[in-house]
Amino acid sequence: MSPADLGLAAQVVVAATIMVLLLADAFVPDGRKALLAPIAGAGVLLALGAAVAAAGSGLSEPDKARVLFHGTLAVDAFAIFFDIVFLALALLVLMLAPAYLERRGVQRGEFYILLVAALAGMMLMVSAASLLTIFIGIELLSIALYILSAFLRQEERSQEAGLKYLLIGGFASGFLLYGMALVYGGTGSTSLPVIGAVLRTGSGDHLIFSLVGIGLVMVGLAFKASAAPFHTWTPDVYEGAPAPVVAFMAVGTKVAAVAVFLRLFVVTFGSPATFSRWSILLGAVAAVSMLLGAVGALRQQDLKRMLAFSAIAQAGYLLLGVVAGNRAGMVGSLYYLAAYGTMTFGAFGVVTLLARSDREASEISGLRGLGYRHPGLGALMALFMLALAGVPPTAGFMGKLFVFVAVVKAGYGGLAMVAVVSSAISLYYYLRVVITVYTPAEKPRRAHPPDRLGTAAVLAAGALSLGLGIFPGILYDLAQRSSLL
Amino acid sequence: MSLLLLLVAPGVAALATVRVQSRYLRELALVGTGISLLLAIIAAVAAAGGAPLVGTAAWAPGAGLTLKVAADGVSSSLLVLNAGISLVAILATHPERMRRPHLFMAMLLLAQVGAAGVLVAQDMILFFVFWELVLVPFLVIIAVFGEGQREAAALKMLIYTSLGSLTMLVSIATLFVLSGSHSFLIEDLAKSRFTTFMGISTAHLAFLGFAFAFAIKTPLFPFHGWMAQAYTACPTPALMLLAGVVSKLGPYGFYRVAIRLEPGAARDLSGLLMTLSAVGIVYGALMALRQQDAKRTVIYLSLSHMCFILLGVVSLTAAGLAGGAVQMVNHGVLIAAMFFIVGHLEQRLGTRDRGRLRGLSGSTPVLAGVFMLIALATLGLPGLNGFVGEYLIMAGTYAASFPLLLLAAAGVILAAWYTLRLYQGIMNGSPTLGREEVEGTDPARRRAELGSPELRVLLPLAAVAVAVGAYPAPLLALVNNGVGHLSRVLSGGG
Repeated sequence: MSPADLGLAAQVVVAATIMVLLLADAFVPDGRKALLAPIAGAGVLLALGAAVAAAGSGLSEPDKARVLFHGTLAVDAFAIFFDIVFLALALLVLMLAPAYLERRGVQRGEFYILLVAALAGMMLMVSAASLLTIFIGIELLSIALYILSAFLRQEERSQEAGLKYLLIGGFASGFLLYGMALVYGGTGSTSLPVIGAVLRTGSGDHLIFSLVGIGLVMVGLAFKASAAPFHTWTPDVYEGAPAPVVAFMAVGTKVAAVAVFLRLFVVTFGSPATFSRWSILLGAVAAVSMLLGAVGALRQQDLKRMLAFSAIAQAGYLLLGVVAGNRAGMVGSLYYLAAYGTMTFGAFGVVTLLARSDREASEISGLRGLGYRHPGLGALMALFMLALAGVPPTAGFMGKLFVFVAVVKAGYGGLAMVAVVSSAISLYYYLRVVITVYTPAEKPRRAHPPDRLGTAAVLAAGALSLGLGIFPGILYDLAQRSSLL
Repeated sequence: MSLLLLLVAPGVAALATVRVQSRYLRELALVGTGISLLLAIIAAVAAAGGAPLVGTAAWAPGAGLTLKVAADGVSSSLLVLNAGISLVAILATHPERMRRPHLFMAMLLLAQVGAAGVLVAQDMILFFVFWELVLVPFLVIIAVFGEGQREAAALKMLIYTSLGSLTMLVSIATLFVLSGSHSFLIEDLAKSRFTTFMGISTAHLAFLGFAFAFAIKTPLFPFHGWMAQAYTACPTPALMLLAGVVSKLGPYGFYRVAIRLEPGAARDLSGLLMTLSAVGIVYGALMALRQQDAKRTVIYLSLSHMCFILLGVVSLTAAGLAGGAVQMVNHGVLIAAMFFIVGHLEQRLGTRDRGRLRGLSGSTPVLAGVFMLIALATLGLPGLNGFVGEYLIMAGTYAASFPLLLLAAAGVILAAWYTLRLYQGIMNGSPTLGREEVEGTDPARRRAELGSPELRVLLPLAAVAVAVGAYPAPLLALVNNGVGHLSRVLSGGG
């Protein structure tokens, strides 16, 4: 099989897994739905193997990449890089979720089906070579996540989260589609390479349509990436949705959205005439996200809400690489996105493991003494917080460093300063958690033993967060080979 | 290779604390640190012989990162100080008397690794990684083992230090882009060609970014806001390391990074930094005079002396740089001893109020003798180690600015005043504490006199104070080895 075939195989396997799960769900009796987790896991693992094989077989060489299905699907190193991130993420979530669902009494087959469907959506988004493929991917991802957010049906907050996400997400999709329509009107094509070529020639009359369209697409994607000022849904949804779902969507949706930003904006809309227009806007979005997210997180008492605001600030950092628009920015973004995935999954993973049977374990004060009750989990939580704060030698630090350098290289000194201010503020709330974890609890609480498989998943994320920081070369080289520029 | 081992030995010991029984904790830490001390001495000997140890390994070449470590005279003298102070700090730790001794010991060792890493790193990202690594253990120690408002103290220290770290990171990124050599090595970053950003030279901006970080760590007046609270909350063994070694990373940063990378900007801003240092000397001295609490007196004494060291470094004269480097070692030794003595008194007598601690010398002759020696060395009595660096710094300051020399001299006179007052207040006069309070009815627990565990900590420090004072030539030759290169960079224009 050629590398591109292997890459395509990963997507096909995931799609097939959805079908298999749908069928299996009909035959697995209620009460034993946890059996679907290993089935889904096997499919994801197979796809992951195919994706890794594709990355290892030299897909980064330009002539090996393919655009398939009449120019709608690009199987290139960039797509495979993100496929690996998403598949690994899904695998970890599949390790984490079953025990949680069991404990909360919502062990249902739909969870696994929807999870893999969302995964297929993410993978479609990053390989999209046409505006329509992007839209289909986003909708597949979003619709699955609307339902997953409301999965704790007995809890009002979870229902509220699902409804809010649905309404605001639908709104965002509207913006996105309208923007795509305008871009189509301005350029006469939905194919990304064609749009890019038309924009580079800068045919004057229709440029205004394209520019307005680009602006609206930016709004739609910024919603998905939870960048300010389109972030308002984030804290409520993260607070109400089940913790493993948040672990999945906080990473998956954001990474997929920023990946689309990279492919669509940096490459397709990257012509000098359009770049100068949207990069200022997106720079403002990034700056506002970094500041609003950091300031918003300061006063949160709820861990999931705090992480939601931190995710808004992180969206700002992630967009820095897009705004830089150069190769360093692209490579830095790829690195940071993968690093962000490990540490954010880890943080929500710990929250998942600590969840009790009747409620989420999400007050920050509830972490008091965790470092002594569960030394392992406490240390991991501290590690993820330090990584999110960008403290060396974690992957979070290296990621921040690479996008900083890219932004400075692109000449946006002011934006780098905003990032610095935001990072300084963010240290306060991240390290407050670390200190809480290691402050002895007044009255020692009885701790339920965390499940093995879930702990292993979080431990793997911890090992990656630290290992990729100490040995950044592995991931950096892969990111360099997967860059679109 | 041996430099890497020097970093690894205490690190391995730190990891091993998780598994070891608490009664072997101290032995484990001592072995790790002992190896580190031995290697530091080897590094110093090599540097003195003109062949400094260097080690290079690939890290992430694609991203421009190199694992390069080296130890010139200044680095290796501080490496010895780091390992030495760590050794006595570990001796001053009593795992059997504390809760969570494993965590404490691991953090102490980690801090040592971090400081050693900063001292040998030749790649700015490596430097930064270790720079941040130093902070974490002290945050944990202050927040978990501290006294008083420990969480507030830890957060304040964190916020100050992190602000500095971030400006440093921006400076590093700027230089990386400007140098265009796709490498974070200090020698490559030094090749940067500067431009202007919003009307100001990027060289000056980058220098200020570094200077801000290093000034906070030192701390230089007026960036000292975190210091008093953090030092007060910090338990004695950790404080010995924090005040004795970690504070030196500030002036060291100026020496190794800020001045080395932008000598031109350093020359332009030298006047400003010298003025701040001189003001800091007097400010610290006046604050020390005002304190009733013995620990806080020593804290402001340390602030004043650190500003003195920085004065020498930023004077950019050969004498000032050498004096600053020598004084870093001396101050490290003396301040560790001072804090140990104050901590010892507090632990035994339950107070560090100068009003309540009076006339102890009758009951504690050995303590009085050692304290006297340390106090005299601290205020710069010729023949003891404090004098050597002080004289050189004064000479360097004289060459740069006479009015600032007068300010610094005023600080020295005040130093004599508050140091002697501290000593006399505690040791001489009529005792306020009853004889049984000082000597104790239970001699094993409450006697304020030094026993052999305390002497094991203090005697090595006192011996260094006497030895360096009597024969400073080797230390001077060692630091001159490193300072010489920087002086050439400064005089060579840049």
